[in-house]
Amino acid sequence: MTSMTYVWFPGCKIPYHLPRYGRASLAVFRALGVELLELEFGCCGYPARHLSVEASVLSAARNLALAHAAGATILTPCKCCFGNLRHAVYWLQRVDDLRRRVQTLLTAEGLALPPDLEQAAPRHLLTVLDQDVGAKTIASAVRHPLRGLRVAAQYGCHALRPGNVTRFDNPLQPTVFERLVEATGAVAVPWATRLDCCGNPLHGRNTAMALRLTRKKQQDARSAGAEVLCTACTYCQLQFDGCREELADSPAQDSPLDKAPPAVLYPELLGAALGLDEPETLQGLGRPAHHGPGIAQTPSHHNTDDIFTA
Amino acid sequence: METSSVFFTVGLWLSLAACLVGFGLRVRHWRGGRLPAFRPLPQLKALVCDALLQLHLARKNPLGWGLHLCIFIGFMGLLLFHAMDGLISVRLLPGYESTLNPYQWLRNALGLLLLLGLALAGWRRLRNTRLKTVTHRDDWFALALLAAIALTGFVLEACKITSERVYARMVEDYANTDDPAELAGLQLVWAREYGVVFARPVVSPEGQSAAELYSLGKELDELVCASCHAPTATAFVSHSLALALAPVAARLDAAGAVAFLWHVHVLCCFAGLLYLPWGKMAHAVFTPLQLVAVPQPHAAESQRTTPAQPTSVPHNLALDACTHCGACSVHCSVHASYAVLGNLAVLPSEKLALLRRVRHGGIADPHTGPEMFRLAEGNGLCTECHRCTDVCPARIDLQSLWIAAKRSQSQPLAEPAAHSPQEHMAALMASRTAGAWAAAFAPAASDAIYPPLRQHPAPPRQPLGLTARAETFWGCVQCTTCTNVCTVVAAATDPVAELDLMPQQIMNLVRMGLIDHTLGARMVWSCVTCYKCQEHCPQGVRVADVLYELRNMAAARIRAEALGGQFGGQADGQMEGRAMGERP
Repeated sequence: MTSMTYVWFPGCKIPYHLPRYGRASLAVFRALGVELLELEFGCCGYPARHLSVEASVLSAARNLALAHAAGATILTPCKCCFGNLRHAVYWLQRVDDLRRRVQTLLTAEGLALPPDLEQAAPRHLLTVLDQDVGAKTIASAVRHPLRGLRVAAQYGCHALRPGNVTRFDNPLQPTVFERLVEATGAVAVPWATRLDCCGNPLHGRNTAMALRLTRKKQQDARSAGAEVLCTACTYCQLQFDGCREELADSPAQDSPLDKAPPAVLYPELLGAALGLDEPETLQGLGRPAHHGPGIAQTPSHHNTDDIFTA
Repeated sequence: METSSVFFTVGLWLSLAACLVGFGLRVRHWRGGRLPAFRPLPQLKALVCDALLQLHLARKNPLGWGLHLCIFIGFMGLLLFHAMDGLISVRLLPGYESTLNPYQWLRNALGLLLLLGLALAGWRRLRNTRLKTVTHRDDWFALALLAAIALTGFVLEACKITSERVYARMVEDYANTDDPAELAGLQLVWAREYGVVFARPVVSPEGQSAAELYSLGKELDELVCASCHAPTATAFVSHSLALALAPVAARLDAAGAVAFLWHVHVLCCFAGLLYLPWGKMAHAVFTPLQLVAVPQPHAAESQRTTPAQPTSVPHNLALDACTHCGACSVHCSVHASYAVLGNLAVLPSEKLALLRRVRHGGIADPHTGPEMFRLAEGNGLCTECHRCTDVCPARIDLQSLWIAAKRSQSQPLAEPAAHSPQEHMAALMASRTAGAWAAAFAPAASDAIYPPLRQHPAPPRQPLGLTARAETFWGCVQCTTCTNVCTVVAAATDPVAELDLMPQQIMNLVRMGLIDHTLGARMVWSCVTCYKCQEHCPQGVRVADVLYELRNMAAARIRAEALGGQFGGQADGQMEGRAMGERP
């Protein structure tokens, strides 16, 4: 294993809206020997992109400059942060005028764009686990294999597409997430909408549509026999959690929604397998729990009846 | 001194009354809401550790803590033991005389500490570019006023040290002798040892030598003066100033410099009292209250509390407790957006000032001003990262304020007819709802709620320039792949009714230069940015990127409309020139 040092870029949503993602990721990286530096970053620029691409690229560039000054590459657990930073790298390499303006604004703050933008490009949590640590190493570090747990891996659009910008995995037939899920001993189920959007980008802009997309995915994951939906993106997780909450409250025809597979963050899944903390979501699912009553539950995917027929 | 005593008494009572009235006016909107719970132990700890010693600041910002403590100790020491010496020092301190030590040199030390703190505060605001951005007239005025009080105090003391008039008055009141030799000797002693500058040199009345006169004078000095006068050199700042002033001291004294400077010094203090309730110095009252009301830091866990009601006491106390230290804006996650959009309301400290101004009615019509639009735009960019709340030394729950403001600003969209167009635009910016944005650009609705956009110049060139370049659409063969793979189109029950135009239709219209005809299509606003269209396009058309650019262009237009033809950028921020929360 080479020395693996990255600078940790949690993104804006983790500290307040999803602190558990940060905690679980840090615990897993500590256990696997990935060293993480802490820096005070700004927003990745993703939320500003609808309003101004330039503001979005500047936000991203500032973070790339900060990481470069610290001598390390960004490691982010959020696919939207990852995607936006990647977009910024892509456009800064190609649009001279934009790069000049960004550089001028950075200079005002005493910062400079990294000379080699491709090298300064961020890496996603899954990529680091897959390429730096390696699925085999992870599998050998697993102490409590999640045998029999059926997991639907949710890819997350902003890391995956456009492939020529994000360079995350094969955008049409990615494999990284399933490989990592299986490293924990769980079963990665094939499901039709695994590459589709979780709906979060429309949350607030067109919430009805956002929920429709989310529901469609939950329904599909359930039909495929998944007991949990596994995410590796702050926004995906927030969307699945939020959707469950919102629909559980509504007396609509879709109830009971608690049958929708709960979402779990990949570092939580891996953490449970490594013998770190086990999230509540996973308790009693799919395999003998390594503490508590050792009764494996039968996957309940056989009765996909209709609770989802919307 | 009769008139000056009247001036002082009347002036003091008037400014005290004005100060109280000011505070009364400032808190007149505070009403209702649940008062903070009484928790004696944490609150006592907050009062001592946080409000008095500011220990919570020491860890986060040592420089800020140090300079604030300098100002705080210097100013409060002078206020209590010098300005209010008749009430406090005389009663509490054994043998207190303002011209005896340790009081004399302590006064100088406190004044110097205050000036040091002020200088550091000014330097910090100039050195940090982010802090400089949010430093306005009020911040400089507060520093300048405190500095003026301290400096006039020092110059006054220096003039008093050198003043022959003051010396003569004291001799008349206390010397108890008519012997010209003794008086001449005393004059000699005070000229040499205390630094009084006499207009004419000492003349020996009966031809005694200087040494003889001096010893006579020294005896008298020890008898009547020394019990109340420590050597003036221990007033180390004023004494050095007195030495520097010596060449012109006699002329200054003759012109009545002591009386003049005393009036200036006292007027500066009165001005401080008048200013106290209105400017940033009000934090001296409100921030300790806030720290006691919220004795522990806000935890960064979501959905912990519902934000306080806008009229309630906790809400208003929080708004008023802002010291405008700028920490929130320095650490703001979306600060970079300010650099591009030039909208100060992106930055927390400025947003807060705007919210406060709205409450005070400082914005003529809170719903129509460009400020409301700026607030909506700036606050809309907030990512709720909680960092401002973490760094706020006044423990204001900024996060909840922003979330509440987002909620209330997007409300007018519910019944567009009942609100002004500007209010509607602010709401549009606050909510960014697909339907509302599309409606704003839709031909049918444009006349009703949104003035025709086409009268305005086209927004400046987009950074990526995708829509403007023919090459972007060169390869498009209208094969409808983008539409067929679109997640949103697939999820719509009736795509045309729900989305107006399909992605490939939008590409076709934009290719023909008919951009205005696409902005009203809900598809543009309901794009989920999954990039499937772009990934799958067999001809390499950047479909999703084009949709992003259309949204950018529409946002620029809405912005221009709301801000009166400005498209933003750096100039916009500079034009504001003063704090957005400030009164005109």
